[in-house]
Amino acid sequence: MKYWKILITSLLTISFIFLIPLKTSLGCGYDDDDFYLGYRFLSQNIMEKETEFSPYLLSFSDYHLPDDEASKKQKEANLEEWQLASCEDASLGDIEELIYSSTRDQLELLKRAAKKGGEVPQSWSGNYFVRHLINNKCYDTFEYLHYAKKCEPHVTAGSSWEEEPILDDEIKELIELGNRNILRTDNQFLRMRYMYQIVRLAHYSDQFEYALELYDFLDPKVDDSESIIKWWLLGHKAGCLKRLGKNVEASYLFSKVFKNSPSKREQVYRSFYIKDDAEWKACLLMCNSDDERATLHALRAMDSHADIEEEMSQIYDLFPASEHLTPLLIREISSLEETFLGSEFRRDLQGQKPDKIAKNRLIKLLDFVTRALKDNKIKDVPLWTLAQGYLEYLSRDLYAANHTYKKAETLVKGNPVLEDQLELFQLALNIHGYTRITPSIEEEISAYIKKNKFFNSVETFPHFLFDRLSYLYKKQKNTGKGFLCNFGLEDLRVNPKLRYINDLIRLAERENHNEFEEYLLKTKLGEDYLSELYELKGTYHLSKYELAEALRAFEKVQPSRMDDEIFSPFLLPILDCIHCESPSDTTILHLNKMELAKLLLEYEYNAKTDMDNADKYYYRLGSAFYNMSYYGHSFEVLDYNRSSDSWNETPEEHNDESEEPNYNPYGLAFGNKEYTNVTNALFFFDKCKDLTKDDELAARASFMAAKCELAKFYQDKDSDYNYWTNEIPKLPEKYRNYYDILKNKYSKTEFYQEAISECKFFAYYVEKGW
Amino acid sequence: MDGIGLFRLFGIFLLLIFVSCEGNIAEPKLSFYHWQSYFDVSVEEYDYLEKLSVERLYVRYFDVDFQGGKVEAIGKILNQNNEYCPKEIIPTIFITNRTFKYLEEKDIRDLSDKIISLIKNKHSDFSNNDFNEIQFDCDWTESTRDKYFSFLKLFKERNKINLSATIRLHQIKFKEKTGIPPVDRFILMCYNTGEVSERNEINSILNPKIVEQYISDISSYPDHLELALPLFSWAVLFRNGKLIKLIRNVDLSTFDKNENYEIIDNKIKVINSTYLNGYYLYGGDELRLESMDEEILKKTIHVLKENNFRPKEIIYYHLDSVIINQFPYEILENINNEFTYH
Repeated sequence: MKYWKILITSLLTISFIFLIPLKTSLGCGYDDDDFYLGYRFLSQNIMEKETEFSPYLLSFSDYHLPDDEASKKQKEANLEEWQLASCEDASLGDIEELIYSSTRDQLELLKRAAKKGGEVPQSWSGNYFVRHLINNKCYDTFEYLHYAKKCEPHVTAGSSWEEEPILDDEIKELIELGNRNILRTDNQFLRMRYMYQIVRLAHYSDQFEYALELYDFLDPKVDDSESIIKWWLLGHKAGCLKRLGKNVEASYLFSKVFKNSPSKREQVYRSFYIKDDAEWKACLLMCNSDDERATLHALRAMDSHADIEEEMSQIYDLFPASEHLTPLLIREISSLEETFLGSEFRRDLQGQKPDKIAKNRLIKLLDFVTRALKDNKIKDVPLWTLAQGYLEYLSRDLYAANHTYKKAETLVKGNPVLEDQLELFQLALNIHGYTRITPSIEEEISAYIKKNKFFNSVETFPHFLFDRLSYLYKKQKNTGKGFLCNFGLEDLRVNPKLRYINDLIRLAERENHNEFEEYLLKTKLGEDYLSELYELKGTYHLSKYELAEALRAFEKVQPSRMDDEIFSPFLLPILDCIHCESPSDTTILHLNKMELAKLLLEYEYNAKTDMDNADKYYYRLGSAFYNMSYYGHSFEVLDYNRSSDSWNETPEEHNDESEEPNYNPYGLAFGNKEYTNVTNALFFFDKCKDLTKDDELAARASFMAAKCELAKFYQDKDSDYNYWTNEIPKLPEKYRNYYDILKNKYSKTEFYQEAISECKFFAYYVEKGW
Repeated sequence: MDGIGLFRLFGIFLLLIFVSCEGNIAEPKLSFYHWQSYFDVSVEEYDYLEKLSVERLYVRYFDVDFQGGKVEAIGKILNQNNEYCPKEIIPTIFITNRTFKYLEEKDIRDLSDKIISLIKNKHSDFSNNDFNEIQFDCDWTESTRDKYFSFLKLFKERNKINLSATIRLHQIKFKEKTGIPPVDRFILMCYNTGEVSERNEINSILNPKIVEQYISDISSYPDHLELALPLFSWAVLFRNGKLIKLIRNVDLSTFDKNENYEIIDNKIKVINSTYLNGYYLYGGDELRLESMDEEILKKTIHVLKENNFRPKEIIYYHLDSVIINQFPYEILENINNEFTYH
């Protein structure tokens, strides 16, 4: 169980981090066993700049963009810039092939071809970008690419297991070459890139001051303010300053890169470092605008544990139109949604209310959003209006939420993402607004299940819907329907509860089910739900030794269903063999549950009326009840899931009819009951022993009664005996009555010798005593 | 004097030495861990080590972790200045438990080769002397034990070198379950004994009473079990009741008479939002200061002695200018005297 919990926790963590969408099945209803940590209705795609901001929403301290992903983003940005600057007609694939896949030798060849304006080498003739550069004699471009290729080994990370030696002379030569080349080209686009290569070489070879000198020297010689490389270069400058201990300057520059270069954001967040209040103040003083100051707060808010409300409030006060506010708002609402959405009926919370700290966060954020909308200084007013409505809803002000959503309807028009989001929010509000489930509401729900686009596309929507319904049915004392919203047949089978079974039978037998009721019954209990319920009811009564009731229930099951399982519970070997197949001996009775109940009823009657043979009937009854218990080979008559995991949970704890289901979404409704109680079997064997005049039968009955006592000992809470070791237990006096009887009274019987030769426990007791 | 006479005289001499040493002192040797990103032992640190006759420094060279589907060497130490370097350096490698969780049996040899190659490469940065031992630090579990132990065995076989491995307290108590790593020496890490995330914890770094619960059977652990003791301190940061971060290298003087904080018993409440050692604290945050002192260390040693634990070496975690200011060398000498056995 422990490992199961660990597994679940791990899966939860993984699915939470990576937000794996869990698909729900349309045909068979939603999968009740899906794991979830709260409902999620707020779409992460709600912002237009989704690609730029998506990691930003999750906070970088929790989220690490894989290296491949980060470099992919940077590569894409670079390629787009090449396309724009060099040849808009060229495809990104062609540009990528030249820039990232060409070798130094190939570039040398292309360089020569470009100089002459000659023919495009055969191997590159299919690349439009290369053709374009050669036809336009773009020698400078090839020269630069050739240079960049030479720099590559010195600036890209190799294997973490290899220590690349820094070759000072080579780096020095490359920097000198770069300095010469940069002045030979008028192309500002290429100049910027030369500068980047040169500064990066110095930075990565730990020549921080030299890198800064080069930066300052080259900066006036380059003029391409639109290039993304400008920000990458600034990142290197900041990196050098940081390594030289100039935290404040470094952090200020990092914040500029953060603001202007989305593909570098995560890297920058990890490098940004403020040691103390003095450095923070100094950093703020370096900023040239409130927008820049706001960016510093945004960087601080990237920590997953940051007080988002405080940082948002500071950002807003500095620069209300800051682009950082919306992603932070969404991140904070996502977190609050997890805590508040449907918290009163969420199964895993089991009535646990959000704490005061969370409530304060919600109130604070709602106040802030309301103030910001009132001031009308923020960007994205439609989105913020939606946010206001949703926060009102989360704080249970359904009236205000409805009013705000109405206002938002006109604002979001024309924006399909926001329109969808509003529709989902309104749907949640509507479902939350149900106070009593009536047939007309069931009709409405049925329509959601069949037609609503969110039922299958929003992963937690079905959970939200059914948890809400379950909560209301329970309040309406509609036990069966409430149960079916969260659980199914398996939950009842592994630990049947009569009041749920009866309530479900009443529902199942009622005529004119509406569509929703039919959906519930069929998806949760199976197509032939009535047979399943009566089969379960009969089994329940059989386990209670209520044979007449059991028979009455089994008689209502479809005969074909009844014949699904056949048992031989009267076969009684000396040693228990749980998973042994019963022999296909025609003298052995093979019965379905109904036939078994009928026969047991007959034996019970005969045992009371046929005094000559009562001993034999009692022995058969004892045999059946022992074999149907946890310890017998016919345990499947009663137990749909025999498990050693739940063996330690005593039957008494699983027999409470008034027990409420366990709403933990990862567990069974009532746990898994094990039929370890052998009281009836012991009673029958004891009666047999007392009534019989046959010493052989008395010996057998005593032996079986002794086994029942042993089973009782296994369940004794005061015993520290481990059933699974199969070691010979030291039996306390109260559990060895029948072994003593067998030993003292029936030692002359044949069975006695048979028992000694086959049963190690008994042989040991006989030989060594207790 | 014939040979036998000389032999007798030598015997008497030995006996005299033995008698005169009886009741005399055998102190554990002191060593330190160096657990930093840069190797740059300062003059002050070097003097400190000299005063304590420390000859051996266990230097963390790098960590091994499973990242992005691969086993990687991360946090490799950079040598900034090896002018002040003790006689002996023991390369120390921290391997995360998840490395062995995901590592396949067939890749153990490759990992072993990569590690030794990188250690040699790194070691040449520090010292011209060869290393005589390598220490592995891994908090293995039952599920990773087999692979970790296979790795150690193979590493030793292939490189013909002495190995030591760190042992956690629970691995002493439950050694039948957790196993004993196939190495030459074992280092009992006598720290991180408490539940750091518990708000009511007093000091999670080291609690002698907790130590006591784990070491009743310590004498049955194989020979060459040495001891590692903590000297570090940290502030445990709680925000909204939850553990957020451990902030290292702080002491009470950081908070005393500082308007941003209010000290209530062993808790420190943040009154005004402020930075602390590079981490931003918000008003309402709570800090629990956990530190080591002479008394805790002596009590721990007392508990260990009572359970017949006699290490020949104590390794302090770790060498750092802030820590040596908090623990003048005399204190460590005093503590070491507690472990003197006769």
